[in-house]
Amino acid sequence: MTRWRFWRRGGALRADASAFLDDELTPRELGGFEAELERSAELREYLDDLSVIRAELGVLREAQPSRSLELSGVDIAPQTPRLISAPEAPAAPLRLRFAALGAAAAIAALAAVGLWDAFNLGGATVVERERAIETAATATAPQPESAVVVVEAQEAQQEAEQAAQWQAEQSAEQASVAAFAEQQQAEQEVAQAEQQAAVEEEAAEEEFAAQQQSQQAAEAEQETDPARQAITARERPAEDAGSVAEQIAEAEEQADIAEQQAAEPAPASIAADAQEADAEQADAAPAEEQQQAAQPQSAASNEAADQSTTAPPPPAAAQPEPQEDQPTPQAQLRQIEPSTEIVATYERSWETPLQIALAALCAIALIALLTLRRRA
Amino acid sequence: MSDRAPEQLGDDALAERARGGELDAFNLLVRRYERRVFGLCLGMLRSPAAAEDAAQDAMIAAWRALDGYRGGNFPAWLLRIAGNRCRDELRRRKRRPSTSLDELVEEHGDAWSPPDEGRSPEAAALDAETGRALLAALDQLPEEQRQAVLLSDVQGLAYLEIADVMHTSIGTVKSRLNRGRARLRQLLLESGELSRARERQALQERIDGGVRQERRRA
Repeated sequence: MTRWRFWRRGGALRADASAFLDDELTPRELGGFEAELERSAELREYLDDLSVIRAELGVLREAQPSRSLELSGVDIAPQTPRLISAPEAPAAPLRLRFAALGAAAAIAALAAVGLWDAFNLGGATVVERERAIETAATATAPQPESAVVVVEAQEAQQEAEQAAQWQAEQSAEQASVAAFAEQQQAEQEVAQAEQQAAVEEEAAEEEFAAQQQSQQAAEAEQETDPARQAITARERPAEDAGSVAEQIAEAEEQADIAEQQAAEPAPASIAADAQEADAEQADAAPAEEQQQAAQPQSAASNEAADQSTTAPPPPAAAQPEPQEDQPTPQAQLRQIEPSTEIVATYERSWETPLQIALAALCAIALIALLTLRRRA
Repeated sequence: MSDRAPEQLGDDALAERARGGELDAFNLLVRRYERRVFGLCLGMLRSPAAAEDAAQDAMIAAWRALDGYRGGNFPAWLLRIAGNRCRDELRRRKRRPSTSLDELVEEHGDAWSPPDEGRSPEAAALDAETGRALLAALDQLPEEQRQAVLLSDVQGLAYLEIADVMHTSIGTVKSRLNRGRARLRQLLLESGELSRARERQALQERIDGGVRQERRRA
């Protein structure tokens, strides 16, 4: 019966036995436990075992360290110096070393590419940019026809292209800013040329009107002078009057073309160049007209007729010669712009994928390094 | 400051001096409690060398944490630090399961044996054997139960102090002690060490009884 009671309430009784051993039972718990202890031999046996174990554990109370645990000045120093060198760590596994080497190489390559980018994108000076423009203009200048000179020119052109590309890479950003400024300047020049062409067109019209009046006056004079009229009728070609009118018509047409081109938005400096050339042509045509109109009214005679027929055609006289000798800023800009595009394509073609590949390699190597270290 | 000799000062006074930078005052506290700290570490770690290292680390940690000691029960505060060190060491061992505790005991030297001061060689050998068996059985207990049994049966702390050291409630302490002792009894019964311990205690009681009778006659 007592054994059955002990195992039925075993958990609580064992807990009470443990607390009874430590004198931690309350008076009420103590009374109930002592009553149970008198009835249950199993409980007494259990309590005896616990007492024996407790007494045996007292052996550990006698334990004392083999050395004193007192502290010295070295122990309480903020950073205890390591008097005895630590044993050397075993060599890392081969895979770990390869992973570490790969990670270091990838990081170094990534850093190098980053530094290269940083120095190339912002390092160009104004002098370098101007030199790049000059080199590019020289590279695209018309080459002489002599064979030796052509070879030298080709070599020089190649060198110039390489130099221009290299310098244009460095100064791409500044060149774009300068191009924008020059483009604005070109637009202003075109606008000025347009205004000048309009003014000169008006002057040409006035001259034409004055010439017509003078012709009318001359005809009237010829009508009054029959002898002179006869000479004029015999020597003057019938096309003289028409040639002057054709010249004026051509000048007007060119001026119209210049206006149309100026009316369009200037997308690039090439258009500005064309407009400038047209404007210069328009300038030249009225000049010829002025020369012809400046002749005295006696030009209705044979001399006037000869000059008008032997004069060079207006379009030929309107060719802008300075463009062939020295490239205009617009032409330089036109030559620089392709280089800038080449730089952009060049960077997109290999540099970005290389950076991505290096970053991926770096990440893979780091992951491998961490994994291997964790396994190690 | 008191004019008494440092050896006569209480724990809190010595701790206050140590907090002021007096290492000698702290070393007095170390001498007072180093055996208790070492006993706890030995019961927790089983290896004497590891227990010494842990006890030394606990003393250094206590010196550095003196500002956090608010007075009261210095041994309980010190045993709490030592218990935390031992548990850290046990967790470190668990992270390296390739090394068993037996290997660690062999690595750190011979297993612990109690001092044989004033004892016969036979009694010292018996005590050493009992001590090793007890440490082996203690090693089978969970950390919390082991610490509770050691603090109660070896260090003699009350439940309230044990609860303070272990940062838990008295009910939890009572439960851990009950389960730990029951498990320890089971292990010692299975190994036969408990019956030998009973015989040894019975013999010791007879010897003690004979000594008392001799003294009465004398």
